[in-house]
Amino acid sequence: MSLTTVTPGKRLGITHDYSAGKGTYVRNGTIFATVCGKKHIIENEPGTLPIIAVLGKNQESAIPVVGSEILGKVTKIHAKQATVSIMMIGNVPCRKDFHGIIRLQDVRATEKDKVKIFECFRPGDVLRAQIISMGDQRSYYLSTAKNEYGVVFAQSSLGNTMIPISWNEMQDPKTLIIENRKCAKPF
Amino acid sequence: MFSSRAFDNRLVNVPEQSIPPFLEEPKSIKDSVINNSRLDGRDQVTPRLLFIKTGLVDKAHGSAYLEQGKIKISCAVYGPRPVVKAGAVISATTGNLECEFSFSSFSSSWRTVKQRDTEEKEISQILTQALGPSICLHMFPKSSIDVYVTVIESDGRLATIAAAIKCATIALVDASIDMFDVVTCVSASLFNNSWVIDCTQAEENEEDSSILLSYMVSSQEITNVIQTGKTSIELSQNGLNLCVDVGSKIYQAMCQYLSKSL
Repeated sequence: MSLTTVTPGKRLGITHDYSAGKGTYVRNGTIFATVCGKKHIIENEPGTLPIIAVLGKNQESAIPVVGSEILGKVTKIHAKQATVSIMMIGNVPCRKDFHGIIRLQDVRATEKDKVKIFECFRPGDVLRAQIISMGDQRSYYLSTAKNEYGVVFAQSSLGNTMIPISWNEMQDPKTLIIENRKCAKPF
Repeated sequence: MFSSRAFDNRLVNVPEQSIPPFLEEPKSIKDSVINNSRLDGRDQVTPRLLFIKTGLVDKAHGSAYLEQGKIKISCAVYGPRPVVKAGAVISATTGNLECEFSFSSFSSSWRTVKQRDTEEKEISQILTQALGPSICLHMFPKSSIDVYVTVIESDGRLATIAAAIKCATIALVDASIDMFDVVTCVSASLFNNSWVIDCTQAEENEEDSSILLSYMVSSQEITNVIQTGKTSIELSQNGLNLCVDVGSKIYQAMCQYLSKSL
């Protein structure tokens, strides 16, 4: 592993010898750096080319793309949709101010016509969801229509952290009050 | 003497004797430039020395400060972040580069008026054109990258724009935004038949023609070129070639700083 510092536009190698990783791009069969950072050559599985990657000084920040899994916080709910502030994309924290919307029809896969947003999410819940579309002018469209997507952390109306007891219910361990949520299936 | 005629208050009373305000004719800057003896002792093809520093603005994702002779410029880069500007065109496939260039009111030898100033808008446009091709905008769908350039002191219009582009590039690299290449920018002015690199305001005042060239060195692509004034085709080509040569040297200096700053 060699650690030379490179700047954007620096030629790193050819695609014949290496495959392009993070912080690089390919033009005319040549790999170039796109960020200023240290050049890493990561040995891949035998039979495949080693990967060239450039890792900058800042932790790279993620941009939401269709298909990525996110962690977010519900900021407000409405009869037809819940608004989510996206916090993590995959395992990478993202910059603030990325908004997502879970529409009524994207909450769950079955009985879509019987969904009530208020019985699935409350403001302050932390949920796991998937980005299904780039959405409208300001928000991304999210979906929780899978068993492993839904609320992962919620507090009851008294402020106690609740534990999931079924796919659509959570219970406050102190007061034993049961509230409705669209829960994520625990791993 | 005054008593002999009536003193008239309505007239401007001039002194009896007057002398010209200048004792000697000021030396022509143009002549000194052509004779390869510029006021600051530089060669015709030598740009002013650069001072670069990154990370001055804590709040910004990337920032840079650049000095080039008397020119002092600071730049802050925010992004990639969701588009906040009202009425902006949002694309689901590519990002948006937004450049804002501003002179501080004390930056020039004349006072810049904040209202109805189209110059700042025009230079912002030049910045967007010069920097746009160097950024991997396809990697930032639905997001915007905002570049704010403030001129603290200027010296020569084109030299200031050139310095602003260099400063903005360094700030973009500091923000770890994916870029195809580092953009350098060189200004040159024509005096009689010779191109002179990186002219000050005093020199630009007497130029015959000028070139501003933004250039990506490792991919050898010109992102923006502006030429004003009349020249022949051969002279223009000479000027462009000279700018490319000098730009390559500046690129090395910029890269050297960027690798060290890491």
